[in-house]
Amino acid sequence: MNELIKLVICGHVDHGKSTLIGRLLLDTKSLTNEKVQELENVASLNKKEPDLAFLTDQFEEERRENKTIDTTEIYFKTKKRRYCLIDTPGHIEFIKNMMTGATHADAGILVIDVAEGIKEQTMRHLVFLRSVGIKKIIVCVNKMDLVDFDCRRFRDVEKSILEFLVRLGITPLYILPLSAKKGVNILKNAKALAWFGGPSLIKALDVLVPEIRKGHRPLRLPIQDVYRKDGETIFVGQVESGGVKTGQKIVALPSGEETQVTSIKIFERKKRTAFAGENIGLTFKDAKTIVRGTIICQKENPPCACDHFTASVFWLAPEPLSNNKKMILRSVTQEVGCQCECIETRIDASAFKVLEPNAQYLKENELGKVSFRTERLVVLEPFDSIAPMGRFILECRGAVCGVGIIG
Amino acid sequence: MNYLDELENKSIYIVREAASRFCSCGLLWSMGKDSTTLLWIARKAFFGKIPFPVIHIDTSFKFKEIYSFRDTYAKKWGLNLLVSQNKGALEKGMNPHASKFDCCHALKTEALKETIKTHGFEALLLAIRRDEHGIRAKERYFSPRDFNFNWDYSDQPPELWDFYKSQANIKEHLRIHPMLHWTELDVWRYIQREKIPVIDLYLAKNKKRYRSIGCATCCAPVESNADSIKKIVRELEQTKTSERSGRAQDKEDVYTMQRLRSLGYM
Repeated sequence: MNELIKLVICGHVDHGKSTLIGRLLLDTKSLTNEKVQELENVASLNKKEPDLAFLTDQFEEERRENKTIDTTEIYFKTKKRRYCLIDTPGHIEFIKNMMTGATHADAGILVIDVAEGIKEQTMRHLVFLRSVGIKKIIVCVNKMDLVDFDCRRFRDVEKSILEFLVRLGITPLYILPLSAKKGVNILKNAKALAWFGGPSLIKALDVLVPEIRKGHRPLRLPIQDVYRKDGETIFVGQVESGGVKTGQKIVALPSGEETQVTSIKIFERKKRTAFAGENIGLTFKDAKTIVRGTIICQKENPPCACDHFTASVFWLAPEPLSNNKKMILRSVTQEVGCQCECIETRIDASAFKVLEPNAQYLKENELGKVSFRTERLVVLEPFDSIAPMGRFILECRGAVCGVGIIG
Repeated sequence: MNYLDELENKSIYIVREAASRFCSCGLLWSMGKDSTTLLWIARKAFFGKIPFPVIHIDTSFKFKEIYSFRDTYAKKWGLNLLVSQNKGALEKGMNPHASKFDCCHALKTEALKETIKTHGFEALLLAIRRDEHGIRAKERYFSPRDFNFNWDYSDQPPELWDFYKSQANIKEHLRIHPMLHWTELDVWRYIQREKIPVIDLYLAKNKKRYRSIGCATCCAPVESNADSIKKIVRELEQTKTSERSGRAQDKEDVYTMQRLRSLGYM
């Protein structure tokens, strides 16, 4: 029951994302009495019908203008488990807020208005989910009440979204017809959709298989900080992959220094072993080169440190990415100056079409295959083998300007 | 790892990230269950000794139990405690009876501003959670406050995976929220597991208990029979009322919380 799955809700503006969230909260009885009361109070203040989207659109501006500005996380539970819903804005000017939500999710729910079909943000959001590594997607074809639950209208949208998903290399878990506003096909199947043989949304969610931390992975522990306590030097960090044990021989990258773990510490306790997700302190037999940003790896088959790599990048800054542009690359706790060497392809994120090879620049909200050179050696690995080691952000003057994954 | 371990580990990572990034940090401690839990996590992160000040913004209207709890554990845990008050406003007679908004703003926000200015804090750690209030659900883990202390909620920086904002701009400070992803029930389950001390105002006496505590003048108890932590956990597993239902500043106006937060309220 304590299992938690995080779902990012995305889709084009006004296709009903916030309303779907409100509906899920209401139908799973996850709302407090005050929330229901507040909904009614705001409705009477604005002299309107209670609006389910108000549950997540909390800012005065969001409610007045009927649009989501920033991402929100909100919880609900079913008989099977707990869920965290991450609402995201559909307007293009808030894409960085959508991305903030998406990088914290396990799976995505894509909402499409059956009457409008696939729009620009539908595609852009999907391209973005793919570019941050989210491949588990449930498509909700919403507002079926507006087309009298017509099977053909649903099939048309289903066909076109499938075509686009295939191009992205994504197989959706489900494509479901529903009406968030009317509460149809949310908790259980509805008579109005008798022609649909698939599950309701809640049933589709409850069969999602969460990503489990894979065992038998190689050790990767990026050092976060170094503390000196009672004459001892403690190196702290989060195990990102694999496990570590006392006495283990390790290699510190990028320096290549080899040493041995003498103890694993957590407050008031010593441990013999630690695994992925744990934040621990380590002491080493010797540590001449180990600082914040060092990656502790197992001695056998360590990864290569490199100063040149190619990645898929989503550009976020108004000022375009161009050849020779200098930035800071951050990957786990590594931070290093880097320079764009070549934009191998420039891709329109709203259609997933190559705009040009060997481009001069990458504009805001565009995707590209880009090669970089770093000032110092860094450890980067394919996203599909060890996700935390295969993702990075790019910063200019302390602000995020791009996000990327390796592979 | 079970789910409480996952929550704790993420919080430890954020607390350490704050200390690693910023030379001058402070942790806001109201002695409530959340900030005491944050303090507990910070002690774990730094192996027992928190390397920066722990700040109490004292409105002078707090429950008397809060003051004795503060002094006991500040000593026991070896905290570098900093108590801060807006003495000017108190001397002029500021109190919650006229306007909750004005009182909260003067005695909490203004007092905090003064502390930040005097001590030059770059980053403040706060125990707010997304599930407390819809406005708090919009927060980032590392959330900048500008020159005038404002929260520019319409233009927050992106926060991707666990890459947090790396620097504060000049004349800006960061609010760091290591427990943003916890729920009220998570906090109580963790308190139960870790045996974290809490003020006994949270435990039911005469069928009433406080679910959220702050100033004695502005908190109302809720009906409850939960006179132990175990019973609180059980109560919350079934409740349909919200945690801040006893908090006056949330009720004054639908958007009071948004206005307070945008002006720098905790």
